[in-house]
Amino acid sequence: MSRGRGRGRSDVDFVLAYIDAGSGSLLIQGLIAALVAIPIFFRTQISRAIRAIRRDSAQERESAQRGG
Amino acid sequence: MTGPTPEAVPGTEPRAPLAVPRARAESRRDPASFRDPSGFVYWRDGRPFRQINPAYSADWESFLASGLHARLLERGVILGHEDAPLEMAYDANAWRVVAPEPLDFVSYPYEWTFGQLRDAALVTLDAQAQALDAGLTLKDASAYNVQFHRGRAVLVDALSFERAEEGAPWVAYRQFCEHFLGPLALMAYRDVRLGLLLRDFIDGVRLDLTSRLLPTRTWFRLGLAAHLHLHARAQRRYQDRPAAAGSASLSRNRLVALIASLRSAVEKLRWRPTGTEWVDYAGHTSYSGAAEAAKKRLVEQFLVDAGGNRVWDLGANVGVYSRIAAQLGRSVIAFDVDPAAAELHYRALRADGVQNVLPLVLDLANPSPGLGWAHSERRSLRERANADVVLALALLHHLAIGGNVPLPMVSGFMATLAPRLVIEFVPKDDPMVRRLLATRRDVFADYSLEGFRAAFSADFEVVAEVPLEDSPRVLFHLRRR
Repeated sequence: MSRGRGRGRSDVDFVLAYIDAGSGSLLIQGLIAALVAIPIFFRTQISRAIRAIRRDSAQERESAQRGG
Repeated sequence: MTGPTPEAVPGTEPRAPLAVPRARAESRRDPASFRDPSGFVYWRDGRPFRQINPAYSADWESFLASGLHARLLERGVILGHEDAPLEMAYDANAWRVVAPEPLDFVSYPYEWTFGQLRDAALVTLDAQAQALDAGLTLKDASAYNVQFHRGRAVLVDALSFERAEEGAPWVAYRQFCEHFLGPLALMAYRDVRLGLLLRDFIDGVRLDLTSRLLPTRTWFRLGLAAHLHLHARAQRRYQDRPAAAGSASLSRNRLVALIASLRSAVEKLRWRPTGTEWVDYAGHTSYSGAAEAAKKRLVEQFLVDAGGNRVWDLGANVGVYSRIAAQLGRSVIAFDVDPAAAELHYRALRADGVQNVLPLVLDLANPSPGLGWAHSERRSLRERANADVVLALALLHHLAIGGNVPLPMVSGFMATLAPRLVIEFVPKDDPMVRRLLATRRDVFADYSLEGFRAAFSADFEVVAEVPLEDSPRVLFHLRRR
């Protein structure tokens, strides 16, 4: 889906739109996004780990029930 | 440096544009639709159409093929449209034509309550989050791209999506902060009336101004500190310096995190609608319960007699009488000068699932003017008048005595709004009028029942005139001459 750079579009086209995005806005959003992505990354990893632990213990319970 | 004020919206047909050339005698280009080269809105036989230009063809195909359009429709986030034949195009440059679902009324962000602007912001972020999932992005995030339709905020500009470039930042980030986050923060943290700044800054409140107006404690709110204060500083620092693509590059995960952060900042903004003059008015009427019940019955009877589909309730407060019109199946626009009353009204409607009432904040003594390019980009209230009936209950004394507007001028203005008028005359011996006159000289010699009849007879004829039971007030049903 993405067009990517380098297909007849310059580096400047990359951040140009029909509205003025503002240089400062483009730069600061990169910084903010990098910062806010950190807790989101850890939250995702933690919830993945919790889901995996729950899945494992559910499987253990199931096999214990089958065994019993 | 200023960005555009994007797309026009498909509501009632605007009057003749002042500065937009006409291609065909039967088509009229919407005066608000001229900035985005992707396409534009025009009117034909009283119906809105949107012409899509060849430059946007690949993005439009992606918008449909990615399933984003279907998903947004399913979530109620975007206004629907039908394909229209190319022969209906405005001009020969058309690549495709669509007919958006018509809106009952086009409202503007400076007329919205805090909750409405907040809901519009959340819909915009929802659309962007869905777009990122589908490999697309919103290329603009203007508050004017949102309208209220069937009780909900919906995105009306279907040409706002484009294919996402790998690593590209969100070009509409600044616009989102200036149209939504900044004004909402000002309303929540400083004064709700600062929402009116959007009337002067129709392309959003500049971030340097927002940052300066916000109280210092907002620096301790992470979302506001980053997206508003630091953002304002970055704008100032890099003003007139083009951003290099590499320095602005952003991965998809980071873009998703940015949108989540903006959503969190918007969701944390709260405003408690209290402390304004009229918010408790409904609970402090000057007449008895019997008089109030009689008034409700009479208003309902007059609305039935007047017929029509669209009702404007002027001075609606928290919407007691708007609800009567809504229960009759009318489409109601409920205006009130008090942002707290309008906000409470909006919240009650959302809670009750009422879809056919739209509360708006409006000072009738200074109604929304024509704004933007050639005064026609954002239409005045009068240009948008499409009501069949105007309700003006417990309002006249505020205009005539509170606002010093002579009765013939009130009558003349009402006559421009609708062919039928249900209006309440509140005499000088009513406690509410006495309260208005308590702190000023009575210079209103003509303010009497006779004076009212004489003034309004120039524009209206009386269909019915009924004194309110157990009250000195009189209710009139008038028909425009």
